Amino acid sequence: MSSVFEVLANVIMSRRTIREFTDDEVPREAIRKILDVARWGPTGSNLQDWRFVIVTNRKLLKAIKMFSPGWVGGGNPVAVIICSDKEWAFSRGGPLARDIMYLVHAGIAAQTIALLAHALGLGTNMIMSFSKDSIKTLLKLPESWEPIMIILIGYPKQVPEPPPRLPLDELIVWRES
Amino acid sequence: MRDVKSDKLLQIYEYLTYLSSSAQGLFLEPKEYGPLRCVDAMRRFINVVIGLGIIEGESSVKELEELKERLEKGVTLLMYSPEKFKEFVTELNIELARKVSKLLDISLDSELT
Repeated sequence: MSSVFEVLANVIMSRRTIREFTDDEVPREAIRKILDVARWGPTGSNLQDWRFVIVTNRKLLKAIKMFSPGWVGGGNPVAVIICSDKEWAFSRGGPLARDIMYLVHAGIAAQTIALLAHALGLGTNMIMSFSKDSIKTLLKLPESWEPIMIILIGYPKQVPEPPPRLPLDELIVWRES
Repeated sequence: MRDVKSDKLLQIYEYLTYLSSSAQGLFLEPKEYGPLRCVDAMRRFINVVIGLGIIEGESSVKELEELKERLEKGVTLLMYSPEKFKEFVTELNIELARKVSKLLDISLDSELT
């Protein structure tokens, strides 16, 4: 029987960035399920400043793709745009939350979403190369919402090989004495 | 029925928005993304010209589609090996120079030594 650690490690290590999706539709319920769990991820001062915009409208997806150079590949994914309500973050967490923490919060949420999607047999692509101004305009987002990342969620058509990882010993330093 | 004119215009805008949003993003993105976007723009440009039907002759379309496939593979190299991506871009330019020489019918009798 696998330990919780082994199960979790396997989910993390087998997740790949998916660029080619199938044309199968992602059930709305799967997206709700993923986001319902993802919102249990941590935020500094329990700010919960993220806002998730889920785009399934084909025309809108095409328009978003047009302003997202980082979105390559085809298929029929749903786009979840992770935004931060910067005004909310500032009013509860001050400048640190508005200027720095919101990015960390979005990063944690993105990884959680990616892992949950992977556990459901879905693939994800986290995209940060897009015009924030254009996406804000297209989605008619409130002034205080900043789009931080687009996560595509869909059924993988091709699963790429993992890119190389740096050896652990190049990444860690122990200070023991 | 969809309007062919607006479909074609949309294809052109698809390319233009790729370039405009790249221009905006590249102020902040890693410098390697510049070459990456250029190569990806080549791939997208081929899509546009084929989509608009402005290339005559099956063999020319096939040639461009083959180039597009190579470009598609090339853009994925950056994530795995920036060195290989750089080599790819170099080879691409050598290959295109040869292609242009043929198209312009440039034939020098000997190499300079």
